[in-house]
Amino acid sequence: MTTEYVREDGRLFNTLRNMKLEVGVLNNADGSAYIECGNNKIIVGVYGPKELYSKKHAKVDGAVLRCKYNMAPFAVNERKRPGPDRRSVEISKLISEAITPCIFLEKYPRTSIDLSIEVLEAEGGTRCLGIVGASLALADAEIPMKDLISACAVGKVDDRIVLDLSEKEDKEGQADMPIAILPRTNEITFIQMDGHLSGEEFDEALKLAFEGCKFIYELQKQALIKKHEEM
Amino acid sequence: MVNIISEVTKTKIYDMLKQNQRVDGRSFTEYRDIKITTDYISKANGSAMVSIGNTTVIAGVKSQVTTPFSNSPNSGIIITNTELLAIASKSFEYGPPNKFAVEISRVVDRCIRESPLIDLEKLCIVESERVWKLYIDIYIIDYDGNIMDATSLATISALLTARIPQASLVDGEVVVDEENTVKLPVKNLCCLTTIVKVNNFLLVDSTFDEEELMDASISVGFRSDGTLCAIQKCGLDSLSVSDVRNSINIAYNKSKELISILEKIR
Repeated sequence: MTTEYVREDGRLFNTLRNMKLEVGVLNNADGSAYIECGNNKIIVGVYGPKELYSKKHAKVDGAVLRCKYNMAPFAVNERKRPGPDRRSVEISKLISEAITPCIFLEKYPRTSIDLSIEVLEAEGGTRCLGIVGASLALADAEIPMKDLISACAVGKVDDRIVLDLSEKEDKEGQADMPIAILPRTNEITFIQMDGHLSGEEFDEALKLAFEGCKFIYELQKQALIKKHEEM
Repeated sequence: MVNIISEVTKTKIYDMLKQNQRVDGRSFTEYRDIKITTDYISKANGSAMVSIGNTTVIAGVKSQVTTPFSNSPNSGIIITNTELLAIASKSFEYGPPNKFAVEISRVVDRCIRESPLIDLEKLCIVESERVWKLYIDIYIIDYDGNIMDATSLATISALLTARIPQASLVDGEVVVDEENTVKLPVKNLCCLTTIVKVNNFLLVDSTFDEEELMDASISVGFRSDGTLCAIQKCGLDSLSVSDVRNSINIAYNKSKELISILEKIR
């Protein structure tokens, strides 16, 4: 891999887009986070742990994490019909599963933790940013967790492995692999892949994804510290 | 889910109103800080994020070429849709728009349609065949009362700053030129002011707590020329004739303020 390779938007293979992370942006929610990454705009809110009204869904041994990923009708080029579709249902499930391993759900039996990820504008990589925002919002809601969760996408564009695919690279690239990790223990809680990668390319992509996640992890910690400094 | 408001807050609001005061120190006819950010969503044709105090709303406008309704063959189409997001309040749930969301969409829609803010006939490309359809999607992000005014400001700001592609007729085919965009044909500016009646006092720009204690509310739409274009009464209690008259007077005075804000972003 030559480091001189410059991507279409001027980034190097291992450069993330400009990122802005903010914590505590909503007044009513117990915890919230706002993320801008390139033109992506995502807002995440957490309510709970709170009493679960539907008793049949309640668990006696822990809280139920209810996670909704939702995209605004104006978030994409072609207007998206409001309400859930197959894509957002799948992503909601995966994000929920990505986050569950790191929360001490057993501390709050018979309750629910409601997590909403609202994509206001999408430009590739919203599921990863959703996970990054979700873990920030959960931390903001002071829900005990083992670690923050970091996530980013890696992919293959023009036969090169690159970090944080833009919308165009996602569409035209040869592979796309979003990953979420617990940065302290290096456990993977979420991984998807579509496209073609050889075994070596996969190893290289995984290494690059870990670097990206670790970098985002630092940004996440800074965002949380910043909120408490302001207070 | 029922919102619970503590007895202490309740008594405090009532007591202060009797001394002509509001809990946050505003006068009865004073708005909280209004912040408008236009062109917030770059993928929308027009968009605006509006905050009134702690209430935050985003409106996004998307355009699309479509066939007109058969009863209005030479007029463009506006579709308004509101989503009360679950992040905005603990009482909002996911699901199809409930009656409150539908009411907000319809009142705002009526205000901009009756004014009319946009000259819909100019959105016609080929009569009975091709017209512009504008989707207005309203997202309630954070809720601290007075959604109606915040929503209408966001919608109007988004429409005022929206740019749609130029559409022209070439050899009987509609060609949409995405490169060259034009502003929407604005006809009359308008705005919506909601007055809430709490314990016989008429308040402008109610907070969440004040709205919980309200008897009834009335939303009044005014055009920039000072004529009325929409009225909607909500709430379980009745309003006297003088309440309605006074509310319209207050709304008339407040509409000047709101219109001057809208003039600036135009």
